[in-house]
Amino acid sequence: MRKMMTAAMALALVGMMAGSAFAEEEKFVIGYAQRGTDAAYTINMMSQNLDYAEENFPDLEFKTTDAQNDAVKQASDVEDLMNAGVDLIMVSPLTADGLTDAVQAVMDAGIPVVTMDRMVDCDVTVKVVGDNYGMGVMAADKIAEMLDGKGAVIELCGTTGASATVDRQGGFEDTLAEKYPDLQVVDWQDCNYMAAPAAEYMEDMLQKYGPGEIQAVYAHNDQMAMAAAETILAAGRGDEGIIICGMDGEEAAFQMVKDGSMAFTIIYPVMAPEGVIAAHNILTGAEQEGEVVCESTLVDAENVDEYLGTGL
Amino acid sequence: MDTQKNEILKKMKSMGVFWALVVLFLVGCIASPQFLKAGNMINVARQISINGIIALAMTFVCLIGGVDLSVGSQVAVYAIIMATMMKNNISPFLAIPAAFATAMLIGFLNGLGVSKGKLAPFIMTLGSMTALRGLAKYISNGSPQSWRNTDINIKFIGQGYVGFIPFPVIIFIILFLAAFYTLKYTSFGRSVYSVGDNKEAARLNGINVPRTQLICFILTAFGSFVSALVLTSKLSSADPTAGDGYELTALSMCYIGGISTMGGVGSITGTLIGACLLTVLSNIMNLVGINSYMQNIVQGLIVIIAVLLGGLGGLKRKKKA
Repeated sequence: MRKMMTAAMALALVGMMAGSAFAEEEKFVIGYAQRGTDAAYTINMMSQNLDYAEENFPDLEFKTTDAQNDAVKQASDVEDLMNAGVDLIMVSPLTADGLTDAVQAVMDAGIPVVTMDRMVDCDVTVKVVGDNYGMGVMAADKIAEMLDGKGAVIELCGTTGASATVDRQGGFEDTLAEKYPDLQVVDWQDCNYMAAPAAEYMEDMLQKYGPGEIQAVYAHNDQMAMAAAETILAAGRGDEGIIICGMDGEEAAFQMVKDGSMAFTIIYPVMAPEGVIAAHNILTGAEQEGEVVCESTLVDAENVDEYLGTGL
Repeated sequence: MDTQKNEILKKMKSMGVFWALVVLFLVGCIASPQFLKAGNMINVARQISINGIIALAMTFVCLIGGVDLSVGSQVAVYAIIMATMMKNNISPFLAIPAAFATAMLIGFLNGLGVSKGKLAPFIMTLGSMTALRGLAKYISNGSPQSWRNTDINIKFIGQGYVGFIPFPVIIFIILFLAAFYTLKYTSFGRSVYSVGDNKEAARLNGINVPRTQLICFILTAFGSFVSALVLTSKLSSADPTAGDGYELTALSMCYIGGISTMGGVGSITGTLIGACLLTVLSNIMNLVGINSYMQNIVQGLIVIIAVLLGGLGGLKRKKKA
């Protein structure tokens, strides 16, 4: 019985491999090593790049891998893609530490590399990046504008040590320190980019600070911002006008901006189609700069209608 | 005379965690003027309930000498099932039973793997933890699911009050009493202790070991389902990463409360105290403004110290008879 099952599985595997061998020729093959597909963001990054390519670049073909948030797996994914003889590798690295060696090996083999979102610690052909620090600055400026530069802010932080967290915190707090001395982060906590811990922390903060003692909540992502908004409403303190700001640009957050329970959110770019455009330029020998900074957009009550329906 | 003195000593030491909670309460009162206010106490009670509900169920699995690592992933699956259905305007009267049925099936499968498949609970649930996390992501396509844009409103379950008591706290109290009664006064409760104490002896005494194991894993699935219901209705949304780390929180609560990692020893009251201790601790640290790095250090040390104290109290022998 066991032998038969093994044989059947082996056959199925051979069949799958034979199937993929019939792919068309005369195309550039891009190896796309995604760090994970567990969040709307990483899914959109991959699907929007692939969709754009399908519509606009018929000369591209993709081999994709999903590292499921495991840096070791992603490093071996990159090696596998290189060994499969792809013409270029697009990679959204999980961590710089885990992926630098693998990416360096690809570069050494003369295969161009495009990194998206996060980076590695070696030279690559093109880096496509967002500007998390700039988003922090943008949020600080906007909150200061709404509060005339004065007030107490609760900061709901993302995962400690993630570069987005460091930059979103840094951009925000540096700006407050430099430009708005009367606007202060009175309490902050690592809420891991997740709704439940953010809601629980916010409950505690509403106990600690009475009505009128919190002017704004700055959350490093929309999940935490929406949880904070729900918590404030549930506590019956929705009428205090606490400004709630999130980041990333989730559809549900746009809805909350629309109905007024959140003040604004800042869209973090999904590196698409910039990533695949850069890759196509490299392969076809078109001009391409070494770094592409994708722009962030602030969405508040004034412009939210333009963005409804486009969120994560 | 000597044995009597010994017994009293043991009892005092096994009460160590309770006294730790009392001390913590006093610390809270001194450290933060907001701590003892009614509003905050109600808040803490509600926070205890979400993880506490899982910890109550986890107690049964721990008592048979097992562990269920999959509870956090189960929370995500049930929350995502409910949220995805309600997002598509399917009535909560269908969505909630659908999640419940899934819970029963998953609990049954976990239990089957352990009881009939003879898999170590750690292995079985390590596998289902990963698979179910994948399932939650698969169903939701990796995205958070929210029904904020529909007319469905089940906020009462997570946010409502009966009098001044939050509804989740009422659920928690009912489940606590049910668990207390079951462990203390039913034959199933006794078989849980005997299976944890010595499987072979339990079998020879006519206890249906596989059935006991199976029911315990169905109970953790049920606990995860209730917790998911409270959590998701509170947030009006579900995230495929929800419940991440809940297994460790629930286990911490059990172990702090004096449940032996080997099974057979401990009580549901211990788990209740463990749940209170961890939640009160986090509340105090938030109120005082201790940052999250330090919080992790303290929480980790508390688990070690609590289990150390329990070990000194000779808890392991206490229930053996």
